[in-house]
Amino acid sequence: MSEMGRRIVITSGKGGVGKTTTTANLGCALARSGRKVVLVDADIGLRNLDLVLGLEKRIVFDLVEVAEGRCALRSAMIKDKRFDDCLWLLPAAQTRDKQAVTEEQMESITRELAGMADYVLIDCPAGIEHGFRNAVAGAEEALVITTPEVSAIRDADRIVGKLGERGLPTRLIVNRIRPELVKAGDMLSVDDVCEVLGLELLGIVPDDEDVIDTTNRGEPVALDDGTRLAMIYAKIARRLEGEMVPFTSLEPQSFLVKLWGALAG
Amino acid sequence: MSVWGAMPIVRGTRSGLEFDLFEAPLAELLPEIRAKLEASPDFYRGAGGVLSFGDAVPDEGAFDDLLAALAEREIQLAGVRGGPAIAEFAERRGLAYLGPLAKGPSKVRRLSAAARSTQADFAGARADLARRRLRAVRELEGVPAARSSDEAAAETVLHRGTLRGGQAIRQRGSIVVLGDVNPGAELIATGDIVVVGALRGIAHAGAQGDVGACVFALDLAPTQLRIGPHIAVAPEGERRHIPAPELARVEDGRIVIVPYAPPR
Repeated sequence: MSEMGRRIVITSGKGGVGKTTTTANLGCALARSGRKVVLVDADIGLRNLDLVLGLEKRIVFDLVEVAEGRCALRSAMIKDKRFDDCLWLLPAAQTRDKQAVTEEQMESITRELAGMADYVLIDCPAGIEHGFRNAVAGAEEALVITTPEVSAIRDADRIVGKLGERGLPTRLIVNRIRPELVKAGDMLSVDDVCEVLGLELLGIVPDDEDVIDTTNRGEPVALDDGTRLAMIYAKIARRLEGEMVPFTSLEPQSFLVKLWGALAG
Repeated sequence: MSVWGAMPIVRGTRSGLEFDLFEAPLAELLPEIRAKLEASPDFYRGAGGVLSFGDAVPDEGAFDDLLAALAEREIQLAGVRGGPAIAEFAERRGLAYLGPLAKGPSKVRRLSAAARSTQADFAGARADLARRRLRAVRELEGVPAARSSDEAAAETVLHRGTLRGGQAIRQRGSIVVLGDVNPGAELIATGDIVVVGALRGIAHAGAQGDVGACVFALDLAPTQLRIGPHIAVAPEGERRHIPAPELARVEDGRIVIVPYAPPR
């Protein structure tokens, strides 16, 4: 048996802050660097990850059917043909609900996936109920996504507490930063966010209209070479791999952030 | 936006590939043709091809490019179709002239090319579907099977209204929906499926292996279509969708879509 891959849950508490987009883009960035990645959509009943990746049409079986033993794990996994055998999706069921899967089943499915991939990224549903517990049950690390808004940070804090109870190492991605608003004092800065949450910072993603367009077309922005966001996601992927990658100029330069950045390496 | 019913530039027919090149200048169509051939090279390899032009003679340079693209995929050119100008053009280029375009609405059935090219993708899934079918039959042991068409009809469920994402109807028998079936919704029937509206979600007819089952919709644009153990998806990136009643059924071991012709 080869070494087990890393199982990482991507979560936020609040909805709409970019969990699914981040999961898709980070998965693409890792796959582009040659890592084998399986994305797991744990949002049973409200699945989206397949849409963002443009793989909706190819779904035949899903996570719930795997859990119920109605099909082989391999049959439910959809290969993203834009990558050479590097990126796979395990889709959620659309016509079932969160109760259809247990924490034990999630644990065993993600463990099996970790046996065949370098990374298993689990896209967590919003909330702190059954769906969250399922998504977290299969993870050994966590990435918390937040936007620089008080409500998102409040929910993220709640989630960080929950993750802490489970002893999961947790890192932070601040999504949809608008540097010009931060400069004008109209938006919380990354420093402000880090101060509240006190997590190791893995990445800062600016607000970008490209995301809306690419997401609607089912082509994650991380696939568009040369775009600002593709580079940022590639950097986040490298930091996740344990590389020291400095934060760029569009990102803040305060001591605190540099410190978190350095620790992230 | 749905894509299923769009007229593709390249169509598979029983006799080979048909290239419909009369809607725009050849040079404009070339990138799309190349993309098509590129998308599933092995599917097209070695097939015979017929080029259909309108009355306009194609640009010589673009035509040479097209021939080169076909030769690269080892597609044997059977000949060209079109008006009198095309007949002259064919003679000049030493190609077989196969007569004018077929008149009236195209009666050629459109094979779902994607159904074939994605067959490999779905190989595992198909095996599982077949296994599930066996199991499903076992589970139903003891339940008297519908024998006559009357009995089968008695098991038809009628749903009035739109079926939205996440909603599903599973029926031993047939399903009729008076309304639309949105993306993310599922219809699974051991018999036929009829949607008096737009079918944009997933439909599985003959779910216990009946390859004689069919799927009908006023606007047939499903995310994915299954009949018995066969799976098909709409071809990628096609436009010009005009809603029209269509019927999907299995022919020669694959799902084909035919325009619905009312019985005379």
